[in-house]
Order: sequence, then C-alpha cells, then structure tokens
Amino acid sequence: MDGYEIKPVKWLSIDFRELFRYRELFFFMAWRDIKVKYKQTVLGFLWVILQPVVLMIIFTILWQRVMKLGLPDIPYPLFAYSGLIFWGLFSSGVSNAGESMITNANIVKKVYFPRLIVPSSALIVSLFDFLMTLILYFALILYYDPHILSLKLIGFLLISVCITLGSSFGLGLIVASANTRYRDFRYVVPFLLQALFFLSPVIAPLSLYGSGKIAFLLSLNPLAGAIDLSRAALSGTPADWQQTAISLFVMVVLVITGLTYFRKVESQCADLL
Amino acid sequence: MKPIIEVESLSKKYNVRNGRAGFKTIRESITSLGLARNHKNFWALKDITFTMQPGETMGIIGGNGAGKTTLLKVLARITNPTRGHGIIRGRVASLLEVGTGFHPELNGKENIYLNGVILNLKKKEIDNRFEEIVEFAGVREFINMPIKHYSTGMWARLAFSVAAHLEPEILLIDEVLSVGDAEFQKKSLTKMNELSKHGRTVLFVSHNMAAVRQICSRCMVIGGGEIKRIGETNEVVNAYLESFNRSSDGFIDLTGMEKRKGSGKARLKAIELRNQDNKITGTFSIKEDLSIHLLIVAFDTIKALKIIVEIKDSGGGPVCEMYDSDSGFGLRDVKGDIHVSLTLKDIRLCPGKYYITVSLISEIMNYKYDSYDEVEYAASFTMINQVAMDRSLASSSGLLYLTPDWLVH
Repeated sequence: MDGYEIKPVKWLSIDFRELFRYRELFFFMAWRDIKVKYKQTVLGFLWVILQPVVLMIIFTILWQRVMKLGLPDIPYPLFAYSGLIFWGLFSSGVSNAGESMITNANIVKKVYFPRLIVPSSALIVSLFDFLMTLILYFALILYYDPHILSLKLIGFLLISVCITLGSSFGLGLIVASANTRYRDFRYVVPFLLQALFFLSPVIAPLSLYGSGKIAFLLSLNPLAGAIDLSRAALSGTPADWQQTAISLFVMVVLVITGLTYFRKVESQCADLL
Repeated sequence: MKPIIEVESLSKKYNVRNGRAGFKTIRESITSLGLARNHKNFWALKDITFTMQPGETMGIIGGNGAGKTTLLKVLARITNPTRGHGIIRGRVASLLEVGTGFHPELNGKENIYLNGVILNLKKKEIDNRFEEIVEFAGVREFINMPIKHYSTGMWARLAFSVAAHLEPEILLIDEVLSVGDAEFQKKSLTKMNELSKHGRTVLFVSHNMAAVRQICSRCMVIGGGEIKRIGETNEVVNAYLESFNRSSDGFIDLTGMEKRKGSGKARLKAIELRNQDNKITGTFSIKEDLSIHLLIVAFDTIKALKIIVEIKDSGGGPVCEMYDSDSGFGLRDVKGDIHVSLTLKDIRLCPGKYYITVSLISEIMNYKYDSYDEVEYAASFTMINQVAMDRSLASSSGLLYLTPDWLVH
C-alpha cells in the first residue's frame, strides 16, 4: 500500500528507496532545464562552447603578450581551455544547484517529493553543458598532439569529473540550503565563486602563488586536484596522487556536509521558501 | 474497515518574525544577535483530529487564514506538523493548485508529461492517458505550441485535465475550481463528482458553498486553526453561513477585521449599500437599483487597482462576478482614500439573502496578479418581492425574476 505516516520530523534521513521511486521526476526536471535553456538561447549549444573559447583566447593573449610567462609542457590554449571547462562545470553546478530551490519554490510549496531531487537534477544541466564543451576539448587535443588521446587520459578525466561534480554537488547543496534559509545569501555566491576562480589552477598553475602554507591551503581546493590530474594526462607528467587524494577527501567532506545541512533545511523548506 | 485517513491532534506552529513567517536574512540574524528576539509563535493548526473512511468526501470551509490550506499541506507531507500524528492509507494526489510546474516555454505535450510526473504519475501511466487528457482539455490543435501562447482558459483546462486523470485513492484539492470559465468549472465539478462516486476519498477546500454541497457528504469548518464544526454538509454549511450575519442594515465596517488575504497594500474599509433614493439599506425590492459603495484605502501609490465584486446566493453559490474592467472602469495611480460605487439598475434577483465578496487586485499580466485584499461575504443584503404580488417567488422559481417583452404576432 502506498500510505505513509504524518509526524513531526526534524531530521529526515535519506530514503534511497524513495529517491529511486522518484527517478522519473529527476529525469524530467533535468530534461526540462536542458530543454528550456537550449530553447531560450539563440545560438543553442554553440553558446555553451563560445563562452570558454572566448575566455581561452583572452587569457592566451594576456598570458603570452602581456605577462610574457612561459608555461610547461602543454600549449597554453589547451592548458587554459582544460581549466576553463572544469571551472565551468563546477561554478555553473554550484550556482544552478544553489538557485534551484528558489527557482522551483512554486513546485516545492505545492507538491510532496524528496527535495534532494531539485538540486541534484539542476546539476545535470551543468554536466550536459560540460559534455558539449568536451567536443572542442578533444578537437584541440587532436590539433596539438593526437598522441595525447589515450585510455589514461579518459581515466584521468573521469576521476577529475567525479571530483568536480561531487564538490559542485556538495557546495551546491550548502548554497541551496543557505539560500532557502537566508534570502540574502544568494548575493554572496557570485563573489565567492569569482574569488575561487583565482584560487584554482584555471588559467595559471597554483605554484605561481608560492609554496609552504599557502600551497597547502590552496591544495584544499578540490578543483586543484581535479584540474591538475586532467592536465597530467595532457602533459605526460606523472600525476600528483597525493593532491588527488586530498581533493577526493575534500569532495567527500563537502558532499557529507551538504547533505547534512540540506536534510536539516529540507524538512521545513516549504515553510521557508 | 480501517479509516483511510486517520489524524490525531495535528498541530502546526509557525515562528513569525518581523511580521512574516519563513525565510530570514543574514542581516537580520546578525543585527538581532544579543537583542531580544521579536519572535512570536503562531499556531496555524491546533489539535486537528478526524478520520475518513474510503470513498468519503469531505469539504473544508472557513475564513481566510483559518488553516485550511495548511491542513492540506500537512496531510500531503509538503510541510511537517509540529505535534500530532496521522496515518494515510493510500496513494495521495494533492492539487494545491492546477498546473504545478507548468513551464511557459514548453509546449502542451511536454507540460502534460512534466506536470504528470510532478504529480507522481509514472511516464507509462501518462502515455496511456495522454489521448484522454488532451481530449478532456480540448486543446488538441495547440498541443505542440508553447503554452505561453495559451489563453488563461486553455492553460487552466490543460492543467485540470492532467489532474483529473491522476486516479489516486485520496485526492486533496484546494480551490482548484476557481480557475477557468463557468463551463469548465461545471465540467470539473462533474469530474470530481465522478471521482467520488468511484470510491475515491476526497478532501476539498473551497469557498464555493454550492460546490461543497454538491460534492461533499461531510464537511468541516476550520477557524483559527481548529475544527469548529464537523458533520453532515448541509447542516454545517448552513450554520457557517448563518455566522456571517453581519449587520444587514446596509453599512458594514470592515476596519476591525483581521486575517485577510492579500498583501494589504490596499484595504477595503467599509461597504455601504444604497437604494435609488441614496438611502443606506440592507433590503432591496426587485426592480430597485442597488448601489454598492466601496470605501477603500491605498497605503501606497498603486498603478492600476482592479476591483472584482461577486454576488453569491444564500447557499454560497455564485450569482455573478463583476470586474470593473467589464464596464470599462479602472482606477489608475491611486493613493489614499478612495470611494467607488457601482450601481446595478433594476435588479431582478429573486427574494432571498445574498452575499457580496470584494477583491482588490493588481492588473493581470500573463495570468498573474498581486492580491491586495479579499473579503469574502463582506456584506449581505436581502431581496424582497414587492412586485409580483400575484404569485409567490420561491427558490424553485430560479435566481432571476425577468419580465421580458411579450408580443402577439
């Protein structure tokens, strides 16, 4: 029987069986977000690729003409692009998931379903965009050095995507919960993301910041491990597994923190929104 | 048989902070540190206890802010109770609005699927019922068109049509019938009647007493978060309407009335009913003129203030709904005290008691508007018969007393 019990709840435990039963809702919400997004932009998926491409060109010019810095191993455009697409996945994931409870407030307030579906399905748009930008990523690799294409690259990419997506999910959940509770939190998010952009090895290796304590603090950024690992496959240099492990660990911490905070807010979100 | 809904001492508390419940801002949290918090507790539901057997239909009536919608939300698990306990023994569909999750950019077909899945249908179930849904909504030619191009009526029909094909064991409905045109409302009422005849258990929140009478076998009145009365529908509805016998001398002061719908940007202060001699009265005879004077105050400049006046019969059934714009009237850029009147010349309502409901809203844009104030059963008046002396006008004579031009040809 499909019945249920009504009683006061403070902390909802995650009911994975229920989440599985609601899987169609997850897919439909993700599908809706993708469909609407690609319907609304004139250029469709070209727009998604255009953004990192334009930034790649700007940073390449800045790097080579203005700052005149040399770079190791990888042609700079490929270096920048590989950083930019992971950054794109991360930052759009955090902001999409973070805003999702507010944009879907009308549904959350009117129908019951496991609320976790809202931020997690919002992440799928970011993943979809990322997959689009991967097309040009592989095109660039083929252009510069087809030999880079290998199983190792694919394997490293998968780990990098996992770390990025996981961290994005965790942080997105924290933002979504904070947004639900404090309505002015959303104004802080773009600033935080912008700061994080410069603290990630997106357009320059973090070694530029120096070593010692600073280097350790910066290594706590999960994107450091994700981006460096994907680049290790591009340059052929050995992967820094210690950094990868740190990033994986930070990702797990973020996911657990996010889920915990979200669960706390979830039980009252219909009243808060 | 075990009851399908069993609810015991359900209570729900809201923390009201700075005059509103719900989210706060970081700024407020920081500035209120160390200071006495201006928290107030507000019990939206108090000790709600009732049971329903499978196949029963229950109406929920009561004033604005009485807790009707909160009760549905707690039953549907949308929000948690603070205390109490309940057991639901069946698949539930909650219709707190129609078209939840409709997206204007998506077309009719896509929205049927999206809305269906949100309402907890399986994709396969929607596949099976798709043709029926489209047929019932009557939007077949427009099914591949983004629904932002739909009219309000089409939008509502499509939305209700999905909802009507849910086939749950328990249906929780909140005021969904207030959308759409009269014909559609009738269609949806019939559909709901059908659902209840097929053994569905229905909980139905409504302000439409006629609909409640038609659909529900039992009814409860909620006031101040409590069940004030529960029992057989006609008995409960009659008692409820009786309680509205505000002074029927034609002048109704509403300034002291709390718990209203709407943002409060404008408020209805008082209503005066005047006859053709400009005399304030609560009693009118057929063929007289009825002037409804509305004393309104706008606390802020309002760009376009729209007024809707409804007349309901003694059973709470709708008689007419008059938009100011229907008469080419409209208030623009108003602030402060406003005195508006509308005059119905030569009224032909049959003898009995009638109620007036007034809504003040903003301009309607894309089916959306802001509600400033809504006062249901704000005033009442009594119609008497001083014209048709040669016969009696009973309720069986209908609502209208008409005297058309008769001719022999």
